[in-house]
Formats: sequence, structure tokens, C-alpha cells
Amino acid sequence: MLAELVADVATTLTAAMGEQHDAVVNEALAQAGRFVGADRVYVFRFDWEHQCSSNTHEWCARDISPELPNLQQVPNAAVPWLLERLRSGLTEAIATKDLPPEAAVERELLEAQSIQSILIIPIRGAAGMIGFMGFDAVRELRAWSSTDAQLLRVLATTLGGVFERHEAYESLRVNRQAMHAVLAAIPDLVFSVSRDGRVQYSKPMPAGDLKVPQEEGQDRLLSEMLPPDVASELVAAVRTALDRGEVQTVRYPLEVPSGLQQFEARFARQDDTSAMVIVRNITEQVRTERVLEDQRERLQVLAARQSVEEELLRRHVASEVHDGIAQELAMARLLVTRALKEPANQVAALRMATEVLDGAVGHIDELIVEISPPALKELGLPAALREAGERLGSHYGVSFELVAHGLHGRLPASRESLLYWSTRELMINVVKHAEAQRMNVVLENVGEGVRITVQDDGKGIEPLGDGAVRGFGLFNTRERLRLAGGELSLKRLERGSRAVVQLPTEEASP
Amino acid sequence: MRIVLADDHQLVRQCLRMCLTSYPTIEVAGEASDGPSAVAAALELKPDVLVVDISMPLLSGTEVTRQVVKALGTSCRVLALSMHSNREFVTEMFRAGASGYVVKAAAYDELVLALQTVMEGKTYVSPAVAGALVDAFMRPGGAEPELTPRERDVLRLVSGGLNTKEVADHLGISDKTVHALRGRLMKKLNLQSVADLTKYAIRTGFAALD
Repeated sequence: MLAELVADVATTLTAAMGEQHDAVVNEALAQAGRFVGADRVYVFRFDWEHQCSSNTHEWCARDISPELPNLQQVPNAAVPWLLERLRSGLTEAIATKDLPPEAAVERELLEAQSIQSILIIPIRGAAGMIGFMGFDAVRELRAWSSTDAQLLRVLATTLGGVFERHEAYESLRVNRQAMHAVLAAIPDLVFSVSRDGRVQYSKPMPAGDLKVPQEEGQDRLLSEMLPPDVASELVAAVRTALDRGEVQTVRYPLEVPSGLQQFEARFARQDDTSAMVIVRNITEQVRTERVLEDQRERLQVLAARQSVEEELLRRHVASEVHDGIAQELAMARLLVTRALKEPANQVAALRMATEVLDGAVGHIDELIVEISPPALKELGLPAALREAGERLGSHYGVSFELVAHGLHGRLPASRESLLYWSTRELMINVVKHAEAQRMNVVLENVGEGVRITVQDDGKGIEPLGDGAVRGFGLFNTRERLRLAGGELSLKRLERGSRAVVQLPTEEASP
Repeated sequence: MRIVLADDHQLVRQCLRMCLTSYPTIEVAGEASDGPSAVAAALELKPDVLVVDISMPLLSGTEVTRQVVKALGTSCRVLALSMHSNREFVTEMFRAGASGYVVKAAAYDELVLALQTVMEGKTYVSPAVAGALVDAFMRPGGAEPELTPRERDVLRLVSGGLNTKEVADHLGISDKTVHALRGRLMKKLNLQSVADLTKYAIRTGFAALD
């Protein structure tokens, strides 16, 4: 009978987990109480950190008042005899009236509850005493039998295990909850996958862009959910991650309801057979990377073009000096050395040397205008452009006219310079390539900026394609104007072409 | 001594004529303003000395020298008259068969001496370029690295301001290949950036410039 009860209670107790825990413990107390005819059966748990104990579970017979609410956080110091008795291992019942003098406090406590006799027994866990349980006799004085004590001991032992297990489970549950909270907080998809690509666990995700295992994806193969090439790449990464124990990263594009998206999956070895996977939508990141890469290359190209321009100018200056000015100086020297050596035709040689030197001086002037026109600095944009246009026109046999209206005062030097060189480039283009008779330049003040129109009556300009190799100068001109907030437009007319440069007067704020 | 003056600058021809005509033993038999007419004048007038500039339109002075020497042999000596004093120009002219090399910045005395020297069948080298010639003799080789046709294409287009994708499209190859070719070019030419490549291309005449 007793053995049956013990087995029954022990089975119920050990099966109890989670939320049922308290109910099952209370039920076990009730069964034991009824069996031995106790008025009250209870469990106290020690809180060693705070040196106190609390009544956690209680069963009371009919008409017996519960004491649990009154017996919370009872200081251990208040019941020294009780603690001593529990530690001593004595498990006989004791009548309140028989308590020794040193148990004066306990006696007072028991009498206040009208307890006539008690049987208490410690509950032990792996680390020692974790609590105690007891039977109270309230209505009459009871001397509990050794069988009763034995039942209580078995119950206490079972409860010790149950409490420990329950606490381990609780702490696990809390950890698990924390882990789920962490997973929920990261926007990425997290799942665990086996070597053959079978999804074992997946964090629940709202159905959305991540076309990867959802709830229904559990226990399915990646190859059933993803395009074959992506799936095989991912499975290969799982294997590598498992074999090498190194985190593997795979980037792949995927067509999802909202369009083509880029994903990044990271595989980390979890154990011998499975890997943890975190999948992240990196579409934005990839887009940004591409934009940056584009800009980087664009800058490189611009830098290259810039250096071409510089090299061209350097070459131009070198060849002007080398083929023109240096040659003239060399010839002048030859003539002068000849005049010094030979008396015949001395004057004629010197006169010729003078003419040659005059030519050289003129050429130096021209070169200076080309490198840095003094007129631009001293007289301003219209005067400098007029000078440049007249030189070009007379050199290439194109009639030139310049009209400026509404331009009063000076622009910032950098603006004037940009407009000057841009317009000069356009004029060079006309005189060199347009086969024009006339070239007209109009400078206007238009609200916030300046507009310069270069029009010719030549064969008409070819449209400027973005990838063309030719038209280096025009490309650079356009890019430079764009960088400064301006623009260059080219238009083929019925007869000839029109190029329009527009530039705000103020520097664009960066 | 009958001479023909070949130079594309009229000014140079005028000055040379002015300097040389009054010299007792020199007669300026003709002038030419470009390569082909220099060859024609030499063949027609058969001068003792052809004074030729290196940089001339249509046919370079080097090529003119080669053709004249081949046609007339030692009966017509060629004296190069040039602004250049680079090693390459000097050695190329002598390889082509020139008998002398005078820089334009030379004094009248030197020009006359050079003419007389080559006339006598000897070689004249301007002191201004003798150093370069010795250099060339002491340090043979040193040529530019050989580039494959593909590398040349990439060099030309990259320096033309095209980006990787444009170059790839242009040549019908992948971006990756263009990238690799560009890397190989930089390594071969010991250059660090696209800008360096561009400068190199311009220096060596690869760049398609407007």
C-alpha cells in the first residue's frame, strides 16, 4: 500500500515539467497527507543567499487553515533549533509540548499555529540541503510512525530531484527565450541545415522578400526551395563549412516577388552534421557598392582624361617651342655668327636675323596667350574671348564676330577661366573641323549665370556619344562644366552647328 | 660644292640660303619642303650634299636619306640638320646612311665645316650630339617592352578615356579580361595607374588623340 503510493507519487512527480510542476507537487503532498492522516503537509525552500526559507507548497486537510502566506522569507536565524534538527538527520516526530528549552522560538511559532506535533525532514539536492518538508498535526497530538517517516523521506528524496530538474529546465527555458528574442531582433533569416542541404530548424519569418525556408520549409531540402544553381552553391558551402570548420560566405541573386534581390548567406559549423546559416538581403549594399565602383572608375577616367589634356598641352607647348621659337632662335644665331665671320652681305644677314627674332617674339606672345591669356586676367572674359577668336579666325581663315550683352563687372576668376577655356575649345573645334566661313560668339547674362553661344555655318557637328573615343576636348569640356554645375549642349543646325555653354555665376556648394 | 636644302620650314631654308650662297665654293642648287620632293630634287639635281631635316611631312628625313643613299650611293652625301639631339634620332640617321649630323643651333663655322667634312667623304658629328652617339654605342638595347596586339588595343582604348565596360564592349571581351590585360600592361610597363598608362600611350603614340 505504501509502496504503491510512493511509486505512484514518484512517477507523477518525475513526469511533471514546466507549468504543471507546482500542481503536481501539491497533489503529491495531498496524497501523502491523506495517507498518513496529517492535517497539513508542506515544503519549505531555503534561500541560502538571503539566509531565509519560504513555504512554497502546502496541502491542508478540511477545516485546517493554510499557513503558506504567513511563512515567507522566514529568517534562518529565527529558527536556530529547527535548522540544527534538520542538519542532525533526526527524523522522529516531536510534540510541541516536548520541545526543549532552546527551541523556545519554535515552540512559540508552533503554538501560534495550534500545532500539536510535527514531523520534518530535509530535502537534499546535489549541492546539499535545498529545503525541508513536514507533516503537521493540529487537531490532535500525533506520534508519526517510522513508516510515515519513511514515506516522508522517500517523498523528500524524490522532491529533491524534481526541484533540481525543474530548476534546470526553467533556466534552459529562460535561455531559450533569450535566444529566440535575439533571433527575433536580427532582421536576417536564421536556420540550421544538414550536410545534404536539409533545413532542420528555421527561425519563423514573416513571408516576405527572403525566399528561403519559412515555417513550411522545415525538414525540406534547399534544392526544393531554390533554383538549382543557387541550391547547389549553398550545399557546397555547407560541406566546406562542415569539413573545414571555417565560416563560408556565398552571395547570390534571387528573383523574389518584389524583383531581383541580392542575398548573402553565411554558413558556420554547428556540429559534425549541421551548419547554422544566416541569410541577409544585401540588395541595397550591393547597389551602393556598384555605385561606388562606378564613381571610382568614372573618376579614374576623368583623371586619365585630365592627364591626357595636360600631356597634350605640354606637347603643344614643347612643339611650339621646338619647331617654332627654338628654330627661329637657332636660325638667328646662325645668321649672326655668319655676319660676324663673313664681311659680305653682313647687313643683309643681320637684317634677316632681326626679322627672325621679331617672329620669335611674336610666337612667344602667342604661346603665352594659349597657356594663360593676359587679357583674361587684365580685361575680362569678353576681351579675352575676342582676342582668342580673332587669332583663331585669322589663322584658319574664318570670319569671327563676338557680341556681349548684359555682362557687367567681373566673374570669379575660376568661373571666367572655365568659361574662357570651354569657349576656346568650341571655337577651335569650329575653325579646325567645321569647314565654316563664319563663326559668331554671343555672351549673355541670363539670370543666375552666363550663357555663351558659339555658332558656325559649317558642315554641322556630329552628335556627341558617351562612349566615343574622338572629341577628347569636347568631352573634357562637358565634364568640367558639369562638375562646376554648368552644361554644354551641341546642336546641328540646318546649316552649321550651335554650341551653348551655360554656367551659374556662383560656385555650386559642394 | 652643290647642295640641296630640304626642310619644311621656309624660314630655315631662307636663312640657310642667305648664309651659304655667298660662300665661295658652295652653290645652293635647289630646295625641297617635304620628304618626297627632297628625294625628287636629289635624284634630279644630283647634288654633292643633301642637307636634310629629320621632321618633314609625308616622308621623314630618315626615310629620305635611306632612299637617296640607295639611289645615288656615295655620289651624294647626306648631312642631317636637326633640332633634335636625342640618341634615337642620331643613331637612326646614321643607320639610314647619313654622313653627318649637325644641330640647327650650331654656329655658321660649324655648318660650313660639316659640309666640307662630308663632302670629303668623312663623317661629321656635331659635338652637341656626339655624347648621345657614344651613349648609344655604350648602352645597346634598352628598347620598349613588346606588347601583344590585345594589350595594344586595351592601351589605346583605356588611354582614350574609355572605362572597363566600354573597352570590353568595344573589343567584344569580358570585363574581367580587360581588367587582367590592364593589370598586365601596368606590370609590363611598370606603371601605377590608368593616368600613367594614358601618359605612356601619348608619349609612345598609342593614344587616339583628336
